[in-house]
Amino acid sequence: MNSDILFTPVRQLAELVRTKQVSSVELTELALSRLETLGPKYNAVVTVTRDRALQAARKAQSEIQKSNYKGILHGIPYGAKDIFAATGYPTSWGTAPVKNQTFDYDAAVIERLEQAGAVLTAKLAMVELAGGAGYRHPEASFTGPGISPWNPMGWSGGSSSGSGSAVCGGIIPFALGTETWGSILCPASYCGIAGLRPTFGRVSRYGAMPAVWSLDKVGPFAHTADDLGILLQALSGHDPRDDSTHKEPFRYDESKGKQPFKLGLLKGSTDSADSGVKANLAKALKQLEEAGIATVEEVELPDMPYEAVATTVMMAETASAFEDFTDAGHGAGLTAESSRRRIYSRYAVLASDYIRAMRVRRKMSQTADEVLARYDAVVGPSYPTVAPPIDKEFKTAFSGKGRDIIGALGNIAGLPSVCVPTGFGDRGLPTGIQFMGRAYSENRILSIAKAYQGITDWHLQRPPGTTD
Amino acid sequence: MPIDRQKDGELRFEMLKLRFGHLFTPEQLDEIKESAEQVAATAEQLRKVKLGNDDGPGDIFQPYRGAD
Repeated sequence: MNSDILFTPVRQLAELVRTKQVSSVELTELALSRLETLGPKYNAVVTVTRDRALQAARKAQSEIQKSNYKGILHGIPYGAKDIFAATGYPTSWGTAPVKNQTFDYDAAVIERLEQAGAVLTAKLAMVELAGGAGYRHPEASFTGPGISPWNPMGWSGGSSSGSGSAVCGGIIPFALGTETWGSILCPASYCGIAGLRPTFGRVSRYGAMPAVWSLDKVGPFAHTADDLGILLQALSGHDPRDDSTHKEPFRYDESKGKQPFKLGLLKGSTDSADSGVKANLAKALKQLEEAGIATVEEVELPDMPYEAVATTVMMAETASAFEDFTDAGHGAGLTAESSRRRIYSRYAVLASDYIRAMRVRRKMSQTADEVLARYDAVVGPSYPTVAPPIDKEFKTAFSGKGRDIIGALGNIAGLPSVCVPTGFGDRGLPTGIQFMGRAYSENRILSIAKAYQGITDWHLQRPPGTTD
Repeated sequence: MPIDRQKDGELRFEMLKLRFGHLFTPEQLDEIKESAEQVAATAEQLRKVKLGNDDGPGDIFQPYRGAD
């Protein structure tokens, strides 16, 4: 079987599986082989779940042969960030001091995908504690810095590093990650794939390492926005084990949506962006306008300390979430040298700071909704830079870079955002665009991203050395 | 009355030092002090946002009642 097949979007791959042109066992064996060969090249894998994967694939194949087809994800291999518990394997959280810990249950999203017949093939690399220790360097993972398949010196982003590079490298067709602030959109952007940060509460976090209870979200990575919609439907829904989950399940609307979409380009969102990011974003917006898919106007948000709120909430909640970890002296065992001290600075946030941040957060969320209600989506770069070099501190690589209003606001307000690739910038590294919508507007933002992918082919590009 | 940011940073650092100071060398403590000053600067930004007494926090506690 040609390895190209794992670059195939899930929807098309599913059709091959359903019509028995390809078997789940063949696909899974190919994914396992690539996890073991390409995976280490990108520092993308913590554990290959070979036995569990083959067992699930054989079961899926048998069911499909008996015409007991469960749906699009049946028999499709995937990988999950090693933040999610899975029985039978360690769940390392990307963190050396706890890398051998195990849980005797599956995370809710692993359960849901198993019910849909998908095949877990690997636990994927991530930044230690999902960045909750305050990392400043790509090396902040005991598996080494995640590497973008587009450039061996380019970081794959964080904290869902392995999820980004494994999908990008055609190792698995889709993956799961989490975002507290940037951890889905950043790797998706740096790897040139599609990523979806759902509305806060769309997807259960049961069995995932809590970092920041009021910010953590679970979301998928794939090559197309269409696949993200399919995946969100499978993942979403109420879970009594996670109080934040929304009562209504998400139902994916496969229609084109009502065009032209009205887009608001966030003023200042490209001020500090790389030249390639900026040029590709401008080109993408022009293409959307010329194709009659969207109209674009500039939109301005009130000047508020969005990043200060996100930072304070993150620091206060991680201080509590990781108190056992720090009290046990595990801080000294973190891989990133500077994080061994930064993790303690979280305890300098006062209760009054945190509550003030939560009060300002509410005002910001209301303001954001008022602005977003006038548009189908607010757009901006999915990340203002291309991937930084793996051997440089962020402050060196991002020298002179400015604010992250769309990222901070999107996360503190719990808003959904989807990103897709827009081309390549400095050092041949990918750039991306994000469409951020009102809470629970995933179908609308996915329609816009799908329409953009319908007139471009960036999602069809393959990194060097990943195909036969 | 505005809070002096430098003093605020120093107080926060003292708090960290009391709890964790034994774990670090003087050079490492300098780095932690810098982080504490950043936390103070972030808090200062938050205090600049005008809030009224009726501006409540984003998350509201909800009473729990299990199955009967």
